[in-house]
Amino acid sequence: MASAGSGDEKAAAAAMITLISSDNEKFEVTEATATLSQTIRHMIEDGCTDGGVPLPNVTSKILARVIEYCKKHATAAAGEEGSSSSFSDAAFLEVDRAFLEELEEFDDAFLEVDRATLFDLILAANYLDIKGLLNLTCQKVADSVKGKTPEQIREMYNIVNDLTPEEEAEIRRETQWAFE
Amino acid sequence: MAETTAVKASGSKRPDRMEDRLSSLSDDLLHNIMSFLTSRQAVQTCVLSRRWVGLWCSVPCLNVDQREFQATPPKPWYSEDRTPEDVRFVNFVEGLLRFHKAVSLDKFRVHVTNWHGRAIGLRCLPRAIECCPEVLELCYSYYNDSYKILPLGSGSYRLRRLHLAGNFLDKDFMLHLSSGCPALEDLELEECFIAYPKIMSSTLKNLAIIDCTTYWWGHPLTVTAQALVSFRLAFIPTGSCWNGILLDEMPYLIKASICLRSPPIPNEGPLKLLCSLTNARKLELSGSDTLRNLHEGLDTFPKFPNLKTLVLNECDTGNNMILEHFLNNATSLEKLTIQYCKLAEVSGKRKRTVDEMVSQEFCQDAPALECPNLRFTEIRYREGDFNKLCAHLSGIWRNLQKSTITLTKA
Repeated sequence: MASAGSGDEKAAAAAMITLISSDNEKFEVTEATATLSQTIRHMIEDGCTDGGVPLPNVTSKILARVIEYCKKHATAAAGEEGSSSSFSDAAFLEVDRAFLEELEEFDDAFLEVDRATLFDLILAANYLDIKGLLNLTCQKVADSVKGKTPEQIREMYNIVNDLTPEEEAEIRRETQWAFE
Repeated sequence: MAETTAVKASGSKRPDRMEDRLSSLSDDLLHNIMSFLTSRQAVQTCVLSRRWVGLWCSVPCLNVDQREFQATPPKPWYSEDRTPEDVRFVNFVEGLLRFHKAVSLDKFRVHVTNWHGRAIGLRCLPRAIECCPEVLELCYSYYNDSYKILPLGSGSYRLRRLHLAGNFLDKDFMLHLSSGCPALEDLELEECFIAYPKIMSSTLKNLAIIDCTTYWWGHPLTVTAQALVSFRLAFIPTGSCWNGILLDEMPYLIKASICLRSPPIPNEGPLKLLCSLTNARKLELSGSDTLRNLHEGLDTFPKFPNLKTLVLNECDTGNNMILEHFLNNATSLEKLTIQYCKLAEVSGKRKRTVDEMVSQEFCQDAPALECPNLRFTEIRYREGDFNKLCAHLSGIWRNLQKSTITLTKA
């Protein structure tokens, strides 16, 4: 494993972090992008990111998507921070409505994935502790079941009803107030 | 669990069709998903399979919405009779409170549409207060002045967002905002009756006051919130009294949006309102009476040293010089948007065309305005307003020359 290089090298690479997927693919990202993940933020704070951050729970396919999300949202966060802490000009124009709309459009497009990918993203967001992405993906699942009957939800998500008819009838009796 | 995920995603060729990925998520993740549903939908998941039977009971969120039980067409809120829909709603809330067992709540949201609903909605509130929610939303679709909000007591120590609609806010409640809500960042008051005209909070970042009324004749609503970043005020006359609003200095203010659709407010309220927005970087003024209210009784126009973006939306810029004042007093202004504003008739002068305005001699007649940084100007207008637009802009043309102008017709 590549150990700490010379001081110069370290300084040049200071802002970059290497993430390593479960299938051993390496992704180089800026620290600002990586620290959208609280998990990685803590690793950076503890100084254990030299030689790359192995992420054994995330495949390269999913990690690439997660990084795409983080890059976009890190820019947004930088814009917001800039505008509240300094008068640097372009930053403020960036938190403009147009930019927020663009971010929303990005999120909508980002969620146009098959169901398997959506679940992989949920698990990755949870493991990496990226709150925005976790809520975005969870809400997508919630929206998909809104207004659906239990039968429709089972069919949609391949949920096998392992309750006996008697058990199901009993549960429905107990929670009749929610089905009326 | 983590390893299986990686294997599934990379190695397995098995068609995903038969997998139940949803039910194999952890309880925490399923709770997160369920917290985006109304409580009624969350409870209904209990019959999906054995995995789901008691899950809803510990979702850290209660979201009760009477509109899910609405009669069509809805009866007026004051209707004496309990409709079958009201009965179903009341039964639902009773059931929910009997079985829901989460010890702490992140979100508590109640939206009711009539007084039968409100009575039962209020029965949820002690449970919510006990669970110290981070987000509390109490919305009544109608207002009745006996609807005092219950004391939040120590239940508000985690409260980050509070949204109240149709509530009566008494003195105790208004004082509690400053003393009992140490984490409060977002406060939205909509169609509320504010019986004690002071909002004080040292933590508040976002404040919206929409169509509220105050009680105290002759006393404007005063807001003391030094940490405020964004402020939104919208007011449409409702016949009730409104004595203006005074804001103490807000050094961190970034965005302010003001929409007044009422006749000019007497006394000094409006002037002070404009003066307290001077730190804003973005100002959005909309509504036909906003400019008049801001301008009324103004001898000197305050300076807006940080203002970068100014949006005038559906304003009446006739009979006042407010646009000119802004251009003269906001030296950092970079972006100006004027959309669908009512423009002044320029009397006694012939209407000018854009070509004439661009011409050099014309620019020399125009009054000089200090607005060196204006780079983007966006103007949206309606068909009939074009001539007036040209005439009106002529006065500020010298400044607009340096910026990129977009003209869009509705």
